[in-house]
Amino acid sequence: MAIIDIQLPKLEVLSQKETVTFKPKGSWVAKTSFEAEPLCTDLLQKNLPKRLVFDLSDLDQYDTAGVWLLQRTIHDLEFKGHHIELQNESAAFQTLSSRLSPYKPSFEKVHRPHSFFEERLVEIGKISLELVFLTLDLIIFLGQVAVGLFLTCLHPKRLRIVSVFYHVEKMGVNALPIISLLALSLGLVLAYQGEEQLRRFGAEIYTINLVSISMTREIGVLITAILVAGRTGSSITAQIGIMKINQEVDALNTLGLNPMDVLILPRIIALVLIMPLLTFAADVAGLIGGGIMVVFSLDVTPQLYIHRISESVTLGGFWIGILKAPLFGALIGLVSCFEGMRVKGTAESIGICTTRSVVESIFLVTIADALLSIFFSKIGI
Amino acid sequence: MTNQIPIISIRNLVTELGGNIIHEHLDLDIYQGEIFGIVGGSGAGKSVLMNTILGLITPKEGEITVLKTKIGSLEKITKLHIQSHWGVLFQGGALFSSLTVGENIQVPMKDMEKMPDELAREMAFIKLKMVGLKEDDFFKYPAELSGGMVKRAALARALAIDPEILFLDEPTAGLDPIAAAAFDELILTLRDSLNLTVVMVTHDLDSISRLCDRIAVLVDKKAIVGTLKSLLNNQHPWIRAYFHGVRGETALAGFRE
Repeated sequence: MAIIDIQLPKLEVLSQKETVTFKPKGSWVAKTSFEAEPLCTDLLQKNLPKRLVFDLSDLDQYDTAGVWLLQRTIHDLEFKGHHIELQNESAAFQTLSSRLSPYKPSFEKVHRPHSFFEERLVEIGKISLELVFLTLDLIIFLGQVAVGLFLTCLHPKRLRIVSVFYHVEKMGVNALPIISLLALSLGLVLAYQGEEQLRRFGAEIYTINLVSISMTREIGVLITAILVAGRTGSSITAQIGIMKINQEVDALNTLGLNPMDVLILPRIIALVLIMPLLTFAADVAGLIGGGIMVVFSLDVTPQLYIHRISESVTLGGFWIGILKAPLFGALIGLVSCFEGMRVKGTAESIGICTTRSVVESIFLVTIADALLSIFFSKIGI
Repeated sequence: MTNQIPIISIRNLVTELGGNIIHEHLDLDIYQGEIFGIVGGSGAGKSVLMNTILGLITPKEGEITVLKTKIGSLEKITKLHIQSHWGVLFQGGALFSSLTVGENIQVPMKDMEKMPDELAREMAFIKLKMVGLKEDDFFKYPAELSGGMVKRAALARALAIDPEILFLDEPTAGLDPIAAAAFDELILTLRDSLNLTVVMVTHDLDSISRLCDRIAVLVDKKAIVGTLKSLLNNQHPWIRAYFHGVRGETALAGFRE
């Protein structure tokens, strides 16, 4: 269903003795520029006499793209030394073409390609500078957080309690179902796989030790941290990033409100508060998951399962798991807030910063966990 | 210049947003080649009306026909087809923030019209200068531009493929008076040389008196349409307040004489 009929652009050539007349026909518009451009470039390749005439009487339809194509061709032909005469141009064509002529692009500015090595050199320089600034930014940010925390300790009223509890609900309470479900299924898997291997030694009863110790000491807190980094860390980064783009952060500054107090500290504190609680929930769910597996496949009563757990899990092991949680929470909060504040201007940068926030949080959490594991085993807990 | 084929016609339009009725049985005809202004108080539904015509909001009832094509029940191909006939300047510019200004202008040329690369680049340059931006701005990202420059760059993108209908949402807001006047001239030239139909939502009384052939005032969920002259004699309280307020009297003083 054509709304306005568009014909193929054509260029009729009428040769006379001394002159050649060109008659553009059909639609010379943006939509047909794909067909029209070759007609013009062909013209420049041909051997033509000195005098050329462009007869525009049959030009049905044109827009700026078409007019520019003709104008460019005429300009190029004149540059080659031809003498061009325009015939039968309509008034509308004239106004349009007179509007275009002062706008002739200066091409030398369009592209100034660098050599391969120059470009690599520029890239390396950019990356190193970026790293320097990143380090500086990070130091400044950590300093600001430390100062903010210190001031909050001095004047506890500065802390936005309502905001903290709002985030505790959003990040903690609302995350309970998904974290419990995940930990439960992990407990199931662990028990199932552990039992299969241990059965070979006839030691399948130790499945209970395997599940309970690894769940409480390592897996519970790790899975919680990874989930919180993915679920909460990303949303913090995106939220602060959008607020930066919308100048909401600037608005806070001008209102005498420190973004550190209003945005960042409540989120970090909320994360530190909820992480141990979520970890505990994950531990319990994981033990239940393991228990389901054990009770059904090992012929162990639930009472015996609970009894074995209380024998195998030491208080120290349990607390190691729980106490790592606030540290991981702080790491996630710091990384995601820092990345959020680094968002600059574009939609793309929100995507980049959010990805970085999640990847860096999980990376840091895993490294910290590994270091702590070594540390605790060295001091013998 | 204004002939009697409606290029956009709206019949019995009812739009509802979040439980509020914005338009109630609104009728409107816009003819080819005219510059049509839409005015109204804040929240009167000017932008909603424009977005409904563009198919971004689905109306509750009613029928919108653009270029003899019904909006709303469009299949993908017809939608693409009609979209290549209009250009839109959004209020905030809506430039793609991850592309440079030059690339932004080339998006409709390359992706909708398959224009050859070099020609597209030249055309982008031409459009850029047409709207009064500098050559250096071609390589800048939208985040590096001032508010007025964003507007011009967005206009350049809206004009990229010489659409038949140009939708402008508050085009002169945020421009300095000189730039706004130049913008008005640009629209007039484009209309005269390309037979463009322009639909503009605006508050700028200077633009209205300089440009608009006809005006729709959105009051009481309906549109009151007329030329500036006839609207000046309209007795509706909001219209009187709009055109005969302090600002209206100053801006339209020249027109009345």
